[in-house]
Amino acid sequence: MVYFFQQLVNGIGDGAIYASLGLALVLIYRTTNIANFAQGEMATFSAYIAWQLIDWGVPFGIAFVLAVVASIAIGALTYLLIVRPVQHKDELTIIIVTLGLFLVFNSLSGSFWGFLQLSLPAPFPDKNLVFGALRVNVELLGTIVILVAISVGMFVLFQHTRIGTALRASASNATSAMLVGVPFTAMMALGWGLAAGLGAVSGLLVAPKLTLDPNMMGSIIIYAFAAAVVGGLTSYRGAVVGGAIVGLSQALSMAYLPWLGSDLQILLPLLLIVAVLIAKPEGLFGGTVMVRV
Amino acid sequence: MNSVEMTLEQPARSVALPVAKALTGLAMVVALLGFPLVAPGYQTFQLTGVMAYAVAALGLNLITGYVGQVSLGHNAFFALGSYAAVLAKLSLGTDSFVSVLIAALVTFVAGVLVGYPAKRLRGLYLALITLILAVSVVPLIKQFKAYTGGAAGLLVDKPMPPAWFTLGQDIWIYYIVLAFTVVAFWLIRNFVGGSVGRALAGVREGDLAASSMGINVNRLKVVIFGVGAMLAGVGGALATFTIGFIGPDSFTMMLSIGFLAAIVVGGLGTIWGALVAGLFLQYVPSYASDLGQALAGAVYGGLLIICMFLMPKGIVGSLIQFAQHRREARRAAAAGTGRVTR
Repeated sequence: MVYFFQQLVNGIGDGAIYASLGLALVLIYRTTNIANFAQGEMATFSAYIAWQLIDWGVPFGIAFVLAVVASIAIGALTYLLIVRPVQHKDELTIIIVTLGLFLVFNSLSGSFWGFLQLSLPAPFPDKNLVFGALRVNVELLGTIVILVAISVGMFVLFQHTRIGTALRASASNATSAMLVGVPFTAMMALGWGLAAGLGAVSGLLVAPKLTLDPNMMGSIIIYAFAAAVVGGLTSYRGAVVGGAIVGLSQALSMAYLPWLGSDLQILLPLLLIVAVLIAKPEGLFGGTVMVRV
Repeated sequence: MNSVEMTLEQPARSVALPVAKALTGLAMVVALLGFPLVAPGYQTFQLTGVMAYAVAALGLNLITGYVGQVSLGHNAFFALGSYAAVLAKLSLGTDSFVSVLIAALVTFVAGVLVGYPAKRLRGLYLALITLILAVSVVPLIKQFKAYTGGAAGLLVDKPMPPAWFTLGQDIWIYYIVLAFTVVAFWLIRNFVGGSVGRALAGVREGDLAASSMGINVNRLKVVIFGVGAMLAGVGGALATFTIGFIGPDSFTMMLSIGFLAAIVVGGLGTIWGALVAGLFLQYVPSYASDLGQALAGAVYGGLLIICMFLMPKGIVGSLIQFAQHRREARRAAAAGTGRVTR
């Protein structure tokens, strides 16, 4: 029984990371209606920025903050230079462009920092808090605290500030938003910037657990997509719950279905996505979308 | 006014055009047949690879270019076809030709099975599901290493030429691959040239509109997915018999992205774009890797983005468009209006 609860705790920890990257995906999807396949690679790039700063001697709290800020700028620039020209083209074009971004960011990381594994210090001490028979890692608690803080921050930003309202307005009806004076392009760039910042946070949380290399986010991004899709791709709450579902089911299947092996674990999010799409295509928290023909 | 003149003029042109087209086609076939007799062996080997890739790329172009469904799982079908052919040859002892046909059958069935749930999904969701398919290929190959040889791979006997064929094994393989390629391109050209092609264009532009025109959208999507997967399988089997080796490293997700990049650069929704794609897949990676491991990805990614910005129709699509504009301009000039309305 303790073993079971231990697995649950571990699952939640991984789920928090999937959720943070999933939130970034949802954010971009909500604001620009684009699924950013490059999100994971952008996060890896951010983690490298932090590593570089620490390597130059910047203390690591500051390095983390600077990396997130730099990522926000990179996200906004990526939108303005690459995404904006194709934003209103068909889905195929957009998917291809974000796949192109995926390759570009991946190989930029590789060419700046090489393919050898680097290690990034963890933001939290690697200690365990013991509750009876259950051990909870401080790092895991920290991850969850950060995720909760981000979620609350996003909620406040979107629901209770002028900028948030403008962001939502631009996303839901671009023409009307522009007519009432919302700076549409700036809002879109902000959306991409915030998402890149979120991605950076998840990259910074992942890098110490795995090791930092250009393909670090390869499987994480798939779990994050699974989290976002399970939650409905348009719902922030959905992404968080989806992250938890994916993290928990992954932890449980590793614990109780050992014959799957570590290689085939990747099939699990596939099954989850397929199951959700067949049973409830709009996701657990998503709304039905109407399309004009 | 112009449109009336165009329709009146149509019959006169439509006699000359097919003859010209048939002649170009014939010239191409003759050139391809003669190629290995004059070219050095290594180039023959490379061109064999080009054709095998082109067949597989044609499959993806059918799925993505013609129907507009983004599939990132083409490496999975390419791998499945390769392993099906090799395993058929090893365990059933079929000859290479029959093995390729078995690979075609297996991948068609697999494509239909994947395409069946995929028919409900458009764009993004399909891309996601096929992405997961793409990344699970290598782990699956390693998992079943009793059959696949695992990470080390398997050596495959290349097809042996019959006694009367004296030009050597590589040229014999070239001709086998050429035969499959010509048949595949010819079949698909006829397939998309007629009513199916128009139905496909309808589905690409909008599911709902197409189904209200009486097109069975779901059935069409499943069939196309099956045929596309089958072509990937045939291409994979041909490539494997050409190389004589099979291993998981040839089937990573990068192959899928390579396929996608290749058909985008070649021309989405065009038959000959797939041939350009074949050339792309055979030659670009080797040149890109000269730039270093890291920059190969940047070359692919940059090409994808630049192509979408400057040449969304790809090389072949742009050529077709250019030819059409010229034809229309000439026709307008001949009609004496002196005015091009477009």
